[in-house]
Amino acid sequence: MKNDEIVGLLKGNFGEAFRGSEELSGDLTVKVDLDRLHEVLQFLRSHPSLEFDYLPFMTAIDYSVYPKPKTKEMETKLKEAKAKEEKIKENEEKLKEAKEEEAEKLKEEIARLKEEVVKAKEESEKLKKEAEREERKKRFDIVYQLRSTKHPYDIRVKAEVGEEDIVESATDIWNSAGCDECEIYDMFGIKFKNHPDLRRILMPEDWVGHPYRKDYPLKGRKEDDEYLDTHLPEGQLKRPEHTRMP
Amino acid sequence: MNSVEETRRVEINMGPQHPSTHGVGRFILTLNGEIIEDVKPVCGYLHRGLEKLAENMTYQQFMPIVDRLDYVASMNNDLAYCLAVEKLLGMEVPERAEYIRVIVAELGRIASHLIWLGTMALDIGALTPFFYTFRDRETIYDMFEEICGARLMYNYVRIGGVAKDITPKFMEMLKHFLDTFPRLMKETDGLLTKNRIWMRRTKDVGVISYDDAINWGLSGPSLRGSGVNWDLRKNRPYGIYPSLEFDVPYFPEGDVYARYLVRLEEINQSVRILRQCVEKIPAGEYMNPESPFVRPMKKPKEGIALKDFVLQIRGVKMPVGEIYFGAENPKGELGFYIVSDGAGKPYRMKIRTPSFVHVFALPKIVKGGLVADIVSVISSLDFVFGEVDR
Repeated sequence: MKNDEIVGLLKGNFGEAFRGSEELSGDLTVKVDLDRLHEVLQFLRSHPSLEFDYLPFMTAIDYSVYPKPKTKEMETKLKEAKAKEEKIKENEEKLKEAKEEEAEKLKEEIARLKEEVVKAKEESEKLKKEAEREERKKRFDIVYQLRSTKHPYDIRVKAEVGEEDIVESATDIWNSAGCDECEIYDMFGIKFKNHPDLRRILMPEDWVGHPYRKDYPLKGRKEDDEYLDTHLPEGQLKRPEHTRMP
Repeated sequence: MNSVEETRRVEINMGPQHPSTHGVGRFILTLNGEIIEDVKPVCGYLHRGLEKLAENMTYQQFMPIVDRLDYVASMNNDLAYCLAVEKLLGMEVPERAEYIRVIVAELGRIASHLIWLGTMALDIGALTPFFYTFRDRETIYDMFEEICGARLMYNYVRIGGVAKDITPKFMEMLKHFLDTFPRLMKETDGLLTKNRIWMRRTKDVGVISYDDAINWGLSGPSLRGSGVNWDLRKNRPYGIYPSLEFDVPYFPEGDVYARYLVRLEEINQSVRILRQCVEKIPAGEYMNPESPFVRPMKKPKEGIALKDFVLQIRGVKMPVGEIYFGAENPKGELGFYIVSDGAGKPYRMKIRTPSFVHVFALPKIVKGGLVADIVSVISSLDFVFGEVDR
């Protein structure tokens, strides 16, 4: 079974809940609706010709500062391409009337322009694709990387998750999802239901905030520093000034 | 009846300063007499937020930090990261560099397994193998020092190839190592494998079945110890591994002894791979000259200097998209999931580490066992806390 067939199978079974697929250097990514995410995962796990029985990892992505599509750039690139195409036509008309020496020059110029047009069109198409993809209403993406140990397939399943949404835990399908879900809850603040033991695992249990969110500062928050400065154990040095937020 | 049983239940704190947790691991054990009823792993003592740091660094800047993940197998970490970035770029690597990479990765695997063997024997109570394995590990570190100058954090494998060519002295050392090491390894093997005390401490201890091992996400030698014939070098081949001959050892018992045998056999297979590499290694480039991460050797002119400066600050622009690459490391599958928005820094990077998953599979393995066995189970899963907490 090839990647297209897996995509076709998902499309056939889930219809509107299937939101599209992508491929980059052999990695297949499919996007589905959050409402039917758990069903999709169960389907992928139990389908006899797929059997995605291994979950290497799951994670989340905060898309809140992802660069916006460059529609203006795309338009200007298209305009440039059009102008160059017109110039090519002009030059070709000139070519019919021109003498030998000029003709060679014009031919060279036409070849150069044609290359440029092709480049500009390619770039604008790339930008167009990005622009089409970028229509997201929710902040996070939740990502499941699945693998089959019996068949040679890998697939990545993604679903959009808002800050208020509660995701159904995948621990009933793969037990290894448990620790990753804890990490996502810890680092992004996405909640899971039916999880046996959802807790902060990397940060202290009373920590405020979710560090892997894009709005969390890299060098820590000022209020945390103030708290730590006043609650230091005896003999412990304060955090040096150059490592703090300016 | 219930109240009596509840009074018998005791909670014990193991770690974070416990010699056999291999770092700063902490486990809260619930005991009923000698039987373990529940284990709750607590981690985060070594948390450095590497994934957050990666978002604020260029791909090249993040290289040395990758060394700090599994700090006893830095070469393998470098290799996995470079392969992931190269997959995103779609870059090719010269053949000589591929061979050098395999050589250092397999040496790293042997070194990591030697540390595991020594410390596991030490945890269970055999002191002698520790000195034997650390003696052999020392020769490997001497070899790494010869090629890159560092003994622990190498930063040697680079995006597009390796940092330096290997020296003739290194090849001599490698050949000498391959001649002597298998004989020295037999000494350690002879001390443990058929040892009656060793077998009683490890056989039928910490059993995990075939299906459970897959479901709980075990990887690497721990997965193969449960009878799963799975090796990313064979099943999702990368580099030049398809052209090399080696076997994937796996044992169906799923206990500590099976995991021990798998790792011991893996050392032999690594030696086999190294022998082939020494024979086959071709001459040529050790770094892809077209790699955008290579800086020109000559002092650049003014206009180019500015360009070079911008390249260093903003990073090399990468294609838009997302990839995942997992490599077979000594501890298991180390994977990098990179989301790129086209800038010189990754938009998001998730590091999938084997140890993190293994720590949280531990409760499944030790539940119902004896307290004394938890130490040997922890050793057999072979986790490093630099990797767990990231």
